[in-house]
Amino acid sequence: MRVDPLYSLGLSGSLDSLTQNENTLTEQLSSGLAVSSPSDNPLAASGAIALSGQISQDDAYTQAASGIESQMNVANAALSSAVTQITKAISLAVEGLGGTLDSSDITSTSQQLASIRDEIVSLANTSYAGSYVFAGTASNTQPFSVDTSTSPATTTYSGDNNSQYTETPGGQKIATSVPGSAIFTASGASIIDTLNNLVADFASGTPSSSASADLATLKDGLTNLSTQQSTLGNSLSVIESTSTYASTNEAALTAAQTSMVSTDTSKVATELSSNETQQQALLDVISSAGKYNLFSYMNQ
Amino acid sequence: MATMMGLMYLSESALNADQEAINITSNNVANQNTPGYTREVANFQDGDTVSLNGYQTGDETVSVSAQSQRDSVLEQMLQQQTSSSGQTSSRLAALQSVENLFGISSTSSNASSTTIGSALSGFFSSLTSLSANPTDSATREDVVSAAQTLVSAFNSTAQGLNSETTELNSQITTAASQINGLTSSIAQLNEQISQYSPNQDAGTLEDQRQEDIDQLSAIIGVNQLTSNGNGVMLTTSTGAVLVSGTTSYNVSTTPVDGNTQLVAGDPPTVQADVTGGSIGGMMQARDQDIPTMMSSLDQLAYSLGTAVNTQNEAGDTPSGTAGTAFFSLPSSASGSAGAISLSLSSADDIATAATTEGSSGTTNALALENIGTSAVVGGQTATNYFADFIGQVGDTVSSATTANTTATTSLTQAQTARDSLSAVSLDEEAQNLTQYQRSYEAAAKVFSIVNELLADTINLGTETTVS
Repeated sequence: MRVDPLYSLGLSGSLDSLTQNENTLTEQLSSGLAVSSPSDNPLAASGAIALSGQISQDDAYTQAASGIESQMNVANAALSSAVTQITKAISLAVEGLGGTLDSSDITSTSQQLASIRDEIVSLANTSYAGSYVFAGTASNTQPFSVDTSTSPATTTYSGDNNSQYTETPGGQKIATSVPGSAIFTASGASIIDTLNNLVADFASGTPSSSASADLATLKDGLTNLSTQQSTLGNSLSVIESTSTYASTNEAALTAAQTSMVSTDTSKVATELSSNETQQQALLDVISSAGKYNLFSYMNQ
Repeated sequence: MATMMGLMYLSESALNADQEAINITSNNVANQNTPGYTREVANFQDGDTVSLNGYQTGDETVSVSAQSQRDSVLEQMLQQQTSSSGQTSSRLAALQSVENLFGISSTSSNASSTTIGSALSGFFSSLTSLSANPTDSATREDVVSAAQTLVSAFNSTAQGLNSETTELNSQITTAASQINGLTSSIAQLNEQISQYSPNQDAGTLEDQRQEDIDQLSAIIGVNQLTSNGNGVMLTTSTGAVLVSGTTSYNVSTTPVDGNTQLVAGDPPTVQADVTGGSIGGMMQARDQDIPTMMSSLDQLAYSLGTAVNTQNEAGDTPSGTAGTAFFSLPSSASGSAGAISLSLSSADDIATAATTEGSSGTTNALALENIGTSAVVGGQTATNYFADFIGQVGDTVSSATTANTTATTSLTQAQTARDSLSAVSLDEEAQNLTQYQRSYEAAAKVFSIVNELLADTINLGTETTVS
């Protein structure tokens, strides 16, 4: 049976593919990526890209959440201060109605109530990073203003009644703000209006007939404010915990993604070494095969 | 009856025959590396003898003819494998060039970053930041710039696919221009072969013709039929005639709907879907693989763009005006990836609030953000659709690589099979040379002995010698 006398030409094809293999392995070692083009491992490439979408989503939420948390903390602090102020106002009003104070003391109570009212208005106009926190969704304009030319003074709210929202990666929609109209000028429990009334009630030195009804309304206002504050506090904890979870999830997904596409260094190094051995052996074969033929031995 | 003169003629013909055999051997050795050369063996033939009145008489000389060791089945197999291998390798080259548009690299925050993938993620992240801070101007500007990055990613990828198509068209034209030279050479060889050896193997003429056919097969797939007078008829895979007898039919190229197509046959008609050879591979990449990829990208750009536009138009900007389209798109998906552009005139045009909310409302911004996690294209989210697309690109290239490896291996095997029969072995030629050399020496020796005998015969009965 006759054999192919030009077989060594076919060996150069094998040598080419060994060299190609060596290049690929070296590239994987130096870049650390086993998958640098989709055809290297289509399934891993596809999976890794899908994961990177999720990772990016978690990361974006975590970053956004931190800004939102700061804003909500500012709102919360303002409400806490407001609670202190209102409590003080309530005890002043109680004292004023107690009958133990004389006329000038009652007038002075009115003035103290006025300054507490101003403090509450200032807290209600709290802003964070250029936006008014208690203006609903009209946060570019200052929500509360009080006109003291009348007695009792009149309050104007120029915000709206909407809330701002965020959404967790799990799809839960959470309110991140409460409009000032629901806290400070709530219908039937309006803190600022009631304080305006109380100031007018004690201004003359004698408590007026509506003073004790106003005091009751003020207490209702405090209860409402506390309720709203606790709602806001709950939203804040949900945001904090979902943000922590998103952060942990992101780390896990990143680890999964890395293991999908990165090089198994020891495996690649071993393959590279055996590839080089094979290459060397093939080079030896090519150089010695086809070197001699019968012509070399004739006529010696 | 054997005569002395007869013996002389016999040795003379033996010497000639051996010389011819040595010529054949030397020719083989000289042409060992000639592409397409088929080795020849010296065929020794006895002269014809007849019996007349009990005596053997007739042509007593020996002659030698060269016989090419060729098997047409092996040659055809080699030709077909050349054609398959030409197709798979040129298709693979085109696909690998296109795959570079979708390279995966590693960044500090992402182990698998692709141009479009990162642009998609960046765009959705910017919308998330926007919903948390809808009136902040820097945050709004980030959305605009992320949208621009996304648009550029689509545009540049589409452009890359289009320029690959243009490149393939130009390569097809170049390859087609080589066909005519080969077909006219084959037609001429057909003529010469039918003139000189219509009934038997035509030796080196057939070698040349087969070599031309192989080169042609590497360019375009051909079907081969034997015709009268040892001729060959060649047609394309679609049946258009390239060579028939002594006539060759030129091919040309013409643009059809922007793509270069082959015009061949008699009468010349546009041949769509030719297969085989480098032209077949390039056409496959240009007409099937690339359009599939382009269509998926177009679908992604169109569906995503439309979803964002619709949502933006459903809300109000902070200044209270109704939202307008984010992106400008063609009227249907086709061409969207290349044509998509940003249509917002400024960051103020992003509609973050619902129509019932004030300037810092977040409801529409949240809805825009949710586009990233909703099924907007092909029943999947934009990112998952793109991830699937990358998987498909990878599968296409990977299976083309496998097909090419298989075809190359088959080609090597076909080549080996053909070479086993037809290639020159130096060992064999050396052995033959020795044999013919000895044979020549022996014939020369016979001649000198016959010469001496003749001298003896002439001198029979006389005492003086003639030498």
